Amino acid sequence: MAQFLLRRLLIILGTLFVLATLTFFLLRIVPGGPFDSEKALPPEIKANVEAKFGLDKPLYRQYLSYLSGMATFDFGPSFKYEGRDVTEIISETLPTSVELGVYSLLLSVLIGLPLGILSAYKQNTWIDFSAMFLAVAGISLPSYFVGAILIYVFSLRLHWLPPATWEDWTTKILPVITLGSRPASLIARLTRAALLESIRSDYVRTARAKGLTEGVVVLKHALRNSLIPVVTLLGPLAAFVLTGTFVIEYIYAIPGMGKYFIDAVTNRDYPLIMGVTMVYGFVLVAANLVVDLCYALIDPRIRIS
Amino acid sequence: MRWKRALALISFLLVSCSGADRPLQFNLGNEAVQLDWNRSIDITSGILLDNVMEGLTSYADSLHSSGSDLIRPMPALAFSWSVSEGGRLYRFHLRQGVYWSDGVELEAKHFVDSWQRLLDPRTASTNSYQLFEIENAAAFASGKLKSFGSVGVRAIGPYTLEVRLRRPVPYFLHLVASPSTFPIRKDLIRKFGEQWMDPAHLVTLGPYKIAEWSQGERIVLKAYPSYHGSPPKIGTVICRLVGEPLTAFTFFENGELDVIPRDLPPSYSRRLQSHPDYRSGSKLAVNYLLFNIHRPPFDSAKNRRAFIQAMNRPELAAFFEGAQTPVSSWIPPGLLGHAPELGVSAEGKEAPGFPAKSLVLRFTGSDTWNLVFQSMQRTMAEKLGVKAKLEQNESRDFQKFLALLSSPGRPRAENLPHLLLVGWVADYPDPHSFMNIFTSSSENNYMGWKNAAYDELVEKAVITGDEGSRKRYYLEAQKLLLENEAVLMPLFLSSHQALVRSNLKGVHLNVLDKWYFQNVEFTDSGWRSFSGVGSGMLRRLRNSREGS
Repeated sequence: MAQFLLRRLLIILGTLFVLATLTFFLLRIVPGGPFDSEKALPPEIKANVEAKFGLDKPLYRQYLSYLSGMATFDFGPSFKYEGRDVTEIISETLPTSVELGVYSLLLSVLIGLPLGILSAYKQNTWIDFSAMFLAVAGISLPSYFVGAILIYVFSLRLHWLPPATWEDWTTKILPVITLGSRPASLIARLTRAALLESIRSDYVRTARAKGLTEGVVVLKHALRNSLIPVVTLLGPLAAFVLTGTFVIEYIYAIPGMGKYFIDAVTNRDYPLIMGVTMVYGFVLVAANLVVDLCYALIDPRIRIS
Repeated sequence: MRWKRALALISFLLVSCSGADRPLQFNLGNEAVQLDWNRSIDITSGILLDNVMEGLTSYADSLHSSGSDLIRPMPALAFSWSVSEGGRLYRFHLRQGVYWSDGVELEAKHFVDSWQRLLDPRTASTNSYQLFEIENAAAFASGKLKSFGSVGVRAIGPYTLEVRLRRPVPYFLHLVASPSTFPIRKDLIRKFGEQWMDPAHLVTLGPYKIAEWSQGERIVLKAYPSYHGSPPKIGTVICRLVGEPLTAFTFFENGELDVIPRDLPPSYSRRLQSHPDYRSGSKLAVNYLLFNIHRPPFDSAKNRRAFIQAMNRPELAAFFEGAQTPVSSWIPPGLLGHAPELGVSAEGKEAPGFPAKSLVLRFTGSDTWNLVFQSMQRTMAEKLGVKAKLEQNESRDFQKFLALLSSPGRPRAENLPHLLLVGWVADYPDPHSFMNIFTSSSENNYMGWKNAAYDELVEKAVITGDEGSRKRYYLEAQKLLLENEAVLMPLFLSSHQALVRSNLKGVHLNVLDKWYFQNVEFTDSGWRSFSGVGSGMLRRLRNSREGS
């Protein structure tokens, strides 16, 4: 187990290094710099600004200083939000994104899993068709559309819920549903497909032959095996929802990290782009590691070594 | 007991809704980027700074002081000033008894400190050019001059600031109204370092103070009780940070925002123009097409004029549904030298035999701009017999391209597009901000048009103090620029489109996009009925409590 973790840790570090290097150089290839504007700056001012942010140094020196900063979790000051460090921006905004993500993930598991089980259990009935219609809709409808519709109906028309912000629990309902609807649909479809496959296998037939009730057969014997693809999906899904999504945070005016993914790229705010990319990369590889560990818990045939 | 409780509730409701403590709810839209006023350039921070700080001069809420159709600066922290040596020497006399929010009295050295910091190359402020008209300021900013002692600004005693300019500039009083020139407390910067602008440490002296700053959520301003001028009529301003236009509009409709200053939902654009709270007004911002004067067919003024005449500005402006107004002249309304009749009129005139078969037009902008140029593409084909290629760039890509045009490594003219869409927003409300662009030495003269007569006229207009003469020079220069040479084709004047609750008095949409809260007040009891009282009522009560 310890050897496994050590090996994975080294792979994670290597992955993050490659990610950091690729992002750094790709950013420098993208046309347009952080201080370009439609108004031309006098050359002496432009030189001052570039010197202040170290952009006047050769590229390899910028890269080395960036790598050494990253090793100490110091991504440097943001180019756009001057006076604020990238680490500070991330530490202020990430908790909100994580909170939104956790609620959405819980909601998606709590809805998606039972819906998938029910669909498989009641295959080819109106329950199955309705559930799968909802799931397809959830996957197909983009979140900006779902968000706008929810605000229009529940806030502008019915006045039941506030349209946006992230304050008391009433403000959190609409964004959590918007963010959670797609993962819930994915989980429901995947659970249904995996469960249908398990239900037809020999060990389930044996369980039935032993005279067990259908509920016990499905929930105790078939479901556990069916969870492996679902758990596999939960890894990248968790990284996606926990680090914030631009659309949801923008529509609902949520002070999370997601909006910086786009803002930072538009502004060519190099340190901020590097910071959010690295956080996203780290959460993704960490979530995948957790998923691998979870396999052993679900399937007794899998042993971590 | 029950009736007593009911009475208490009714009294609470009446007090909460009386409007006395009712906060103004303003949508800032985006997070303020930079509160360090020496370096701040974004609109959001500018709105905050105009309300929590002050400069030597300021403007009336509408920007126009009474009885003038031109924008004129008014006394602010300087209660008077004298100008001598033919307009080169300014002496500002500061108000006495103006206190910063930590109790320290304002002194002239706070301005000297601020301007030194603004010009210091280590500050790397992109605003430092605003003081380049001060003697030796540009040399100090470029690092050629090491000592600030030779720069033409000094404090003569605690309440007098003396400024010596390198030449007389009639717009200097506008420059010292800019947030980047506001006074600064060097002692606090030394004490807190970069954190001096953190709301917890920020010391200001304007009509409001920042009372709460929730990153990405909202910023709350409270009236500053020791403000030297008349106290603000509304005690609390809640600035929300709702970026999505549709969400902001929903807030407005639910009574949770009183002002949306910009970015109304595009899909509602036409409907909103008949909304009772809709307001619009022009800005000092012009979009124009710049001809590549070094490449045929636009190397001839005759062809440039023929091109403009073939277009149809009102038809193109219609795509923006009120957000842009067609314009043929260069200096916008509200500034000296504005003459709407100037410029080549675009009337859809055919130009058979136009000496070109294909053109390239490069631009950046929204999808609406794409529609505008598609329409222009059709007009070019119909009226000029020209096939136009449109190149839409991502904004940073386009800005990089413009930066390249003003650099020594500028591409050869034949490799540049025939036409460029460029926008210009005034740095200060004086015609020089517009006219200077096309002088030979300007970095913003992207196509490098050079005309000695034009340069001379613009220079003359700067050094003369007489408004009549300035106006004459600017009219003459514009005629040369727009009609004789037709170096550019002005397209549209940008407009504000805002939603302002109709029971608010004292809100002025002005050409500089400045929003002063000090004289804003509610004209009614503050209760506005809207459907679905449920959450809205609770929220309003909560806001009233927060405001009190």
